[in-house]
Amino acid sequence: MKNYYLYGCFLLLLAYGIFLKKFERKNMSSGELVVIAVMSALAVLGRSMFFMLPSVKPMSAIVILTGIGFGIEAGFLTGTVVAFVSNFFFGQGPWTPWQMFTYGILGIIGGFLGEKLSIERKNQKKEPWRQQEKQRRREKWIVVLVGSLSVMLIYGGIMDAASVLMTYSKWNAGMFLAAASAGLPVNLIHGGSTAFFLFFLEEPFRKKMERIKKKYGYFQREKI
Amino acid sequence: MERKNITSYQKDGFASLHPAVQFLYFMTVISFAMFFRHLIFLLLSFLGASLYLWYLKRKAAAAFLGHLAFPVIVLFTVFNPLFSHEGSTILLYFPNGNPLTEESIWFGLHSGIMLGCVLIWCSCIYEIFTSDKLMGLFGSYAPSFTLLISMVFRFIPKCYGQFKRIREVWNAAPQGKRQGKRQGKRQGKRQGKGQGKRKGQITRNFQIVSIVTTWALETSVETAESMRARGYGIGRRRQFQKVFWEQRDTFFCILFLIGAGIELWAIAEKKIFMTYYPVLRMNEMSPGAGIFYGIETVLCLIPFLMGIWEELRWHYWKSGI
Repeated sequence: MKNYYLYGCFLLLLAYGIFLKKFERKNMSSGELVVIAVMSALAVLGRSMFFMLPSVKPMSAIVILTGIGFGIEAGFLTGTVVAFVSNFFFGQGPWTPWQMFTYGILGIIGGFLGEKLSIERKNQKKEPWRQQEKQRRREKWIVVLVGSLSVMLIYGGIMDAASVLMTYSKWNAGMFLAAASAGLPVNLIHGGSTAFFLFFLEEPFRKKMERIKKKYGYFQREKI
Repeated sequence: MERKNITSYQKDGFASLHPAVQFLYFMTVISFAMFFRHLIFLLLSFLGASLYLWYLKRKAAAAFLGHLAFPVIVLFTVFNPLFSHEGSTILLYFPNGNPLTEESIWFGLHSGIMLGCVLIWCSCIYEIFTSDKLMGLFGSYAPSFTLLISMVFRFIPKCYGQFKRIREVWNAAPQGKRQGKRQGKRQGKRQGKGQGKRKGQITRNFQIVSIVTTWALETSVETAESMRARGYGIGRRRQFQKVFWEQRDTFFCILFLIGAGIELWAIAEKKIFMTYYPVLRMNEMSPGAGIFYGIETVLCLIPFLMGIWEELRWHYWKSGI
């Protein structure tokens, strides 16, 4: 008897175990820990403030932005913590490990995106102010596009697949297609709302996170 | 996370056990429901879970069952035969040539009850397993991570309080051009009916969010400095534990493990079994099987019975003075 949900959960637990081991050993500074906690709290708060609109949540947007601002590891951590903690308010269930994983992935995507953007920014020559403004706007649209697409495809895809694995031990392609089509409107709303929130929150969050990083020297790998 | 008031917390016999025992119990019961395919076992587990949920939440439990668990069961019973065409008893053919089998209907029913059962157990866990229990249980394995989670729990109400405070101040203060004109005498309609009303509200809320973010990040740095000054990272972190291991925990654990062990033995020895595909087969209803069903019933009803027992004691031991 093959139970794919069991295998999946086991793999996820293994991944979390490895990550936790690494995280505990790293001895993150108190400042970085608290900043991550604050970002997670804001994301959870975002989810609970929009409780009346299902799947219109700024949570994934904030996770992605944290990834962009503070790097891959912080993004993953924020994603997992956010999913775990917010489910205390919205109900834990067999979906919790998968949600933790997918939100973590969103944070990782944000981290990669942030690195890419910062490298791009570094390679560019110093340009006049107007040019910079244009560049900023371009970055914003990239973030909005990549963020909403990854929410729609990766988050939606993984959660739909997980919902099939959670319930059937024998599955075929038809079930996945059915789950995907049933989840399509939800994913579209989730992606669209994420795009909306990213569009409005990208600039203030980027500014604030840059400031924290610069002012207190958090999350700077070059320093070590 | 003040979900339970303190009296019901004390009165519930099962919820006042050691968190490790509760965790063991729930994990065992849920994995029995998830991984052992037997409709009668599943129904017994479903019964135990629903009764305990009823004990914990009373009317809200019925709403949970009606709105979530039963639709899930119906949905799966309907959907499984549409996608799975295994099984040998063919009832009829769909227009596209795929058969509808009796076994797939049974298996759909099983999957639905299984998911409903797990959901009910999970909501029992949600009621009982407060975050402090979780922290106390796993704090020693992952100190930084649990610290992070408990900090998040603290920051949520803090940030929300600040958000409310800022919003109140903004509502009280006269607004500039950007926030829309100030019209209307009623307090509720502060924004006026100008063109940019909706847009003004949205930008305003985002501005408040932005302010709260700045405030939270700056305050967090203060917290971090204070943590450093008080010696964060020097020693090993331990968690605050409210509950200690008592004799009744040992007693419960031994009895529970014996019961679960007997069930596992019965499963391994195929004393009780059920297969859905290709043909629906089940063990015979013999007295031996009846014993195993009885043990399973007791296992699943433990929390409910303990709760009722405690409640009865509290009821009858009340002083009549």
